[in-house]
Amino acid sequence: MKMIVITICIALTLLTGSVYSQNATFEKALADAIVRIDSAKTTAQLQETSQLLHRIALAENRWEPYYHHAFSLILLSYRGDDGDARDLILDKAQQSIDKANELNGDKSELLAIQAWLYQARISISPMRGMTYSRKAAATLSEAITVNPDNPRAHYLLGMNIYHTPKMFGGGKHNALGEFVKAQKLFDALRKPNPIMPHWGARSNKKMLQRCKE
Amino acid sequence: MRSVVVSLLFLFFTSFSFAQMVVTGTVTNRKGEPIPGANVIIGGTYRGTVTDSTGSFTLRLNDSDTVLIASFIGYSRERIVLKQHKPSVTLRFVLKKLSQRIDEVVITAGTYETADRQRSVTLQPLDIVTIPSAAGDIYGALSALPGTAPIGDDGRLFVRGGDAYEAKTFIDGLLVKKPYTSSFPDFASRGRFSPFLFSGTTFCTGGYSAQYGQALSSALILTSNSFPQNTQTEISLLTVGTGINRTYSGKRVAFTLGAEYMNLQPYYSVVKNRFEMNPYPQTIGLTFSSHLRVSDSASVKLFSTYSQSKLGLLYPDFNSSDSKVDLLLNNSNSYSNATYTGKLSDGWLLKAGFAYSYDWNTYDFSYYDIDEHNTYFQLKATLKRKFNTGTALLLGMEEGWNRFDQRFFRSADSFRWNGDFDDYTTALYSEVEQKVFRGMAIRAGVRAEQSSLLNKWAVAPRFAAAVSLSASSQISLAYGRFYQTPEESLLRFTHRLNFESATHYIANFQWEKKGRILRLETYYKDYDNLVTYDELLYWNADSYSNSGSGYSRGIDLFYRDRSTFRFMEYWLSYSYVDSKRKYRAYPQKVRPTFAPEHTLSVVAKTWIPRITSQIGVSMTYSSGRPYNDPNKPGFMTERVPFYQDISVNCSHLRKIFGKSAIIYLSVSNILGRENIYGYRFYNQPDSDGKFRPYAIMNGTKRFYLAALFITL
Repeated sequence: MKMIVITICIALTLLTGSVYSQNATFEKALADAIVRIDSAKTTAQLQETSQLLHRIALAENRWEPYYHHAFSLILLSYRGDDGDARDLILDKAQQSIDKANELNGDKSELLAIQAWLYQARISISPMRGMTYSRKAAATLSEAITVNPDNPRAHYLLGMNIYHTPKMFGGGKHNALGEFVKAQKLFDALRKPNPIMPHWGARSNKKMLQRCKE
Repeated sequence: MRSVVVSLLFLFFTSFSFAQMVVTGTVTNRKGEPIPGANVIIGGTYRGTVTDSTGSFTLRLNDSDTVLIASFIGYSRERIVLKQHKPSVTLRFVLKKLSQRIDEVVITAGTYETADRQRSVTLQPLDIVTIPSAAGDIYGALSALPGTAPIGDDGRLFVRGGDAYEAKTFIDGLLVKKPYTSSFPDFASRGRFSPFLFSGTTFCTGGYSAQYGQALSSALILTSNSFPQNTQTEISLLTVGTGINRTYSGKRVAFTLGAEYMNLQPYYSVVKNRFEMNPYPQTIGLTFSSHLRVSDSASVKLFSTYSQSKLGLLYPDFNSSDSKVDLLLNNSNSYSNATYTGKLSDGWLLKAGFAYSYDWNTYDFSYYDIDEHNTYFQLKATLKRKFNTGTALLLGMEEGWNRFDQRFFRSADSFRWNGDFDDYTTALYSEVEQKVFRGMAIRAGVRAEQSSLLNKWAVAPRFAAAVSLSASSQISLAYGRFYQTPEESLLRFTHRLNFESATHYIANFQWEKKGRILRLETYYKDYDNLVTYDELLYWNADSYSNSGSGYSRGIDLFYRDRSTFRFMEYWLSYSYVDSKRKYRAYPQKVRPTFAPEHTLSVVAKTWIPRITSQIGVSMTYSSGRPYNDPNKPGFMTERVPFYQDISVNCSHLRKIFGKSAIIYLSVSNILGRENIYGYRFYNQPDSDGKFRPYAIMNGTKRFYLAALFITL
């Protein structure tokens, strides 16, 4: 009798344990996938990770996987060479950003990634420079108003200024300030939450180097 | 006992056993067409894959995997539960398309929409301003769109063979009584408002919504700017004048105050004008606009302008071939417009407002003077509601009061004449737009109008439909009846007239894909009850009647490409017009002077990043316009030579003293072609019995404009 009870208790622990760790599984799976974005060496690997993020997003209905899915797609768009195909990838990224907004995600981070999407649109066709650069700047200024300590917003604003022609108030000299601000904010973050957006420190350091040259 | 424990433990271990199963399959829609890029996910896990270009997929399943879910954006999800595990299984997912989103099919027949939206159909407001031939004038810019004719000696909008009075301008839904500056005949007027005041422009070349009326041909619907984002000051310095604008943007309220002064004397002292002017054209103007966020769901917009201008000209005296007359024009104009937009309970949206316009002109011709006052007031309210069934409903009413007063004085015999009237107009309108299954939308409306002065009323039906043929193309149809009260210049002699009317039939095909758009539109306009009078008895009320009629039919073609060339965009617009009418003093039905047979416009713009400049070129051609030669038999039988204009402009962006600045340069008619718009003839024949002609042309061959805009 005692053995049956003990076995059933062990069984129950194993069962409830699997239900209890469901949330932890989601966070672990998402955190792992995010790491894989960075470590992807080929475009095929990045595409696989992007699809995995989409599956996590569809299964969980939370804003974080939609955010990272959009992030991976924007990265993929830079690797494509056909303008039309790249625009289609960005259209999909826009859908994920819209979904994340519907799920009331972090406003400042979503505004920042929206601005990055606008910048990606410019790189496909420079004729769009005037409209999308303005949109990106307006979106980033809102992102900074919502959360002045968002390092990604400052980094992207620096990128906006860096790519604006010097004659019109851009260039590396004017961009430096934002990259410095971003660096301070990146350094202040000790242990970031693995499923929250935490990218940008490495790219920011690179831009700091470039501006100081 | 031990066997029970062993069996229980065995049960748990088997659930983690490593049996694999291969599933292959396809994901298709209900028509059997494959859906590439669809997600196939193993339920309860994050494992899965994406279908390839043939809609096929392959997955390896564990024993514990029992559910597969296929999904794709715009379709409903599909689940398949595996009852048993075989080593290999083939599945087929059939996804059902979800009903189209409410705003996917937009009726485009007769409409060129230029709002700043993701899905912009044709032009953006900034595109309008940078059209070289426009020189910053909204109406000049619209003449680069199909359906309009370049009538350089007038400057107003002439749409699809229609006269300028048949096209009306609206700001935020309310009528603008005097959208053009005052000018003399043969001298072009311009729009009163800067294009920068508006965020959206909808140019309807026909078949427009029941919300608008009193325009036989076309409606230009302007939307004033939304809440400004920044507090800033803008200064403009031009070769023709100067202006300053101050915007204040707060949390709940924002306003802009502007002042401008134009004087062409410095310009004409350098560029010779064939006409002698005294005083040179000068204008002083003030603009105020304000935006107030009353609550989260309601806002109030105010728009007000005031301007004072004068112009003096020495023009040929057509009564005697050797002398000239002194013409002097003074104008005072004020326009104010206030609108309230608010969400009412249970989904209704209310848009209400009023507009007030006051215009005073004094014309001083050597032989006689004219003093004219026009006051116009309009009240309008519209209720809108969107229902879940894909239906949008609109109801509204409009009340207007038009007061006109003209005094005439002839110095030779001290003859005085006075004509004035008050006209109260009421209109009621209703419109329903319904999405009918996938890819089709229908809009039906009716408008009832009444004029107290004419003591007449009319009911105008409107109908439009659009069907999408594919993801990138659609056809659209429109039909409508339009009524318009005769012009004031006619009503000052008699009120015993009826509305003039026109019936429109429009068919349109539109294709739009990734930055390229093609529009082909054909139309037929049937004019009826046009006012006619006897030229020699123009002062006699009995000679006026609504016995004129006419037709206008043609084809408009528009092609715009923003993606083939990375640094350049261009568009091409062509119109063919076949039109005849008998109206006003015309003795018979002829092609009117403002309806050239062919009009072609090509605009190209390129952005050069290294010098942060945009360069534009526009070429306009139109076939010779008709004119009447009293020396020849028949009426309106002659044609002037064709019209051609090539203009260029350049906008250069730079920082000056740390402030954003734009340097703008433009030259119109760069080839210097001496375009003739028409001919006037002297009233008295010469010694050889012929009436001498006088060519109507521009005062200068080319127009140069240089401007500097700085934002502080």
